[in-house]
Amino acid sequence: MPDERLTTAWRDMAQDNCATAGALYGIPGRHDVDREHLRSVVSRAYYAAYAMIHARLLESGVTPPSRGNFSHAKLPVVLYHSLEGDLGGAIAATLWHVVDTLYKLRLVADYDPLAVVDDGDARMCLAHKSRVFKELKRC
Amino acid sequence: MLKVGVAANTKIVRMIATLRELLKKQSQNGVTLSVADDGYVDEGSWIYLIVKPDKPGIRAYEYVERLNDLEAELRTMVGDNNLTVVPAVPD
Repeated sequence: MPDERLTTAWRDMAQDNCATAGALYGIPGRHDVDREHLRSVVSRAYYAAYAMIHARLLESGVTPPSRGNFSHAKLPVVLYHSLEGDLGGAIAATLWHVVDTLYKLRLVADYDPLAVVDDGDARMCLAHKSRVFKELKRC
Repeated sequence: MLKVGVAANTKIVRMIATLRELLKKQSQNGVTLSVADDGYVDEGSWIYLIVKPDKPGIRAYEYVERLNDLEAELRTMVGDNNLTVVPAVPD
């Protein structure tokens, strides 16, 4: 039986990170603004997806490791194998790739100060995060 | 238990050697990627291989795409899916 308090907390974290990523990026489509927080947008977009996946895995009855959270690197694999039946193979495989790419972009954004993180990277991460939310949200 | 350091494990030495062969084929926009002898973290059931650019200025998406390509090829070549090719491993 899923722990409702825990899944709600993960969903709240997902929404909080989602809102933060959006606020940091600003209004999409405007070309007359300097976007100053692109690395943080990438990072928050990833964590929004990370939290949403945790909520959905717990709701689906997947037991987390004893340390509490699924490891970042293994999360796409766990997601695929745990939710392939619910989501279908094609969507699960897409999410695997999307989450893996988000994770690596987040590592670049947070740990490689000499790499160039641009507007396209930030927008892609926001789009990837939205895809995760769309597929995993349960209303 | 995490182990970081110079590869003593034959399997990891082979992975790094194979990864270097793949890296030789990749050199786009003048940025070369490489893996150090100690550029890995062994989590037991999962191996992280850390690949870094040789100079600043690589575009993030290009970097990640190249890591993803390397990872897919390496998994096939060494017959092990429990590895990932990453830009960094946080403590």
